[in-house]
Amino acid sequence: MTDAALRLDAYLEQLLADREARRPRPAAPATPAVDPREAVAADLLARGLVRFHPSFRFEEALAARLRATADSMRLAAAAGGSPAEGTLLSFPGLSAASPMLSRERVPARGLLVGGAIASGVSLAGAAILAWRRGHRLASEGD
Amino acid sequence: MFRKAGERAPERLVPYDVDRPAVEAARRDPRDFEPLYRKYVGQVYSFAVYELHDHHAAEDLTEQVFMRALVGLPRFEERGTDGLSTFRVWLFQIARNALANERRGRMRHPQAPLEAALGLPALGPDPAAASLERDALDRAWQAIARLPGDRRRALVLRFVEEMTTHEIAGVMGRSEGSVRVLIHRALRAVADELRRD
Repeated sequence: MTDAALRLDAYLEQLLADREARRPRPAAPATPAVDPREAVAADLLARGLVRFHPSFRFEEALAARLRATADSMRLAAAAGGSPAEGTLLSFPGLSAASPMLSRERVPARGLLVGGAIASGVSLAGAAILAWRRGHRLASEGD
Repeated sequence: MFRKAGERAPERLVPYDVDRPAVEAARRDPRDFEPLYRKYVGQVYSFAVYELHDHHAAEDLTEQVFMRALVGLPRFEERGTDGLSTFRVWLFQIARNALANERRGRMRHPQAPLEAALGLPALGPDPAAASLERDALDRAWQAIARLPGDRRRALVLRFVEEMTTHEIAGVMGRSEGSVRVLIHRALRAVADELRRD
C-alpha cells in the first residue's frame, strides 16, 4: 500500500505540474506502476475539481473590515497596548467552555481587551490630571 | 553514527517560504496584511466551499480565518512543531480549526449535496465528450461525497489547492506517509465508482 501510495504521489506531482505548465498529457501514464484506473480518476479530478472564488462584493467588504482591524491594531500598539497578546477574561457566570468564549472569538475579544486597556489608561490619566488641577487650585485658595 | 566533539549537527533543510517578505511586512505594519489576503482569499474560500457545501457559510468561515490570521500574525512562526511550516500551511491550519468549530455548530442543519451546492463545471467544447465527462465527474462527486472527511479533505487540498504532500501533512497534522495513503485510498474509491457501469 505504501509503495503504491508513493508511486501515485509521484504521478500526481507530475500531473499537477503539467497542468500548471499547460503541458499536454500523454494518453497513458508515464509511470506504468500506477494503476491505470487510478490514473484516469486522477486526470478527471485534476480537470473537474475547480477552484471557487468569492464574489467581488464579499472580497472587497472583507478587505475593508481587515483594513479597519489593522488600523485598530496600529492605534492600540501606539497607545501601548498589544491587542494580539490581550488576555481573555471571562465575565462572572460564564465558564471557559461557554460558546461565548469559543476559540474563534478570541481574536475579536483580544482586540476589545487591547482597546479597553487603552481606554482605561486614558480615563485614568484624565482623572489624575483633574485631581492634580483641583488639588493645585485648592492649595492656591488656602 | 556518533558525532565527534566539536562537530556540528547537520542542519535541517527548511524550505523557503515565498510569503516571508509579505509576512514580515505585515508584522511591521498590520495594514500590509492585504497582499497576503488577496493572494489566499480564493484558496481559503474554495476549501471552505468544498467542506461546507454552502457559499454563505464559506464566506463566514473565510472571514473568520483571515481575521484570526491578521490578529494572530505576531504569533506565527515559520518554524512549526515539525520545523517546516509556511504561512500558507499555517493559514490552512486556522481554516481547519475554524471548520471543526463551524461543523460542531452545523450538526443540526442538513447539508446540501456537494454537486448540487456547487454546480458542475463546464467541460470542453465537444458536447458528446463533455456529456461523457460530466457523467464521469458526476459519479466521481458521488464517490467523493461518501469519503470519510480526512480522505476528502486530503483530496481537495491535493487537487484543488494543489498542495504538496508535505504541505497537506502540515495542515492536517499527520505524517507525509499517512497523507499519501489517505489520497491513494480516496482515489481508489473514486476509480472504483467510475468503473461501475
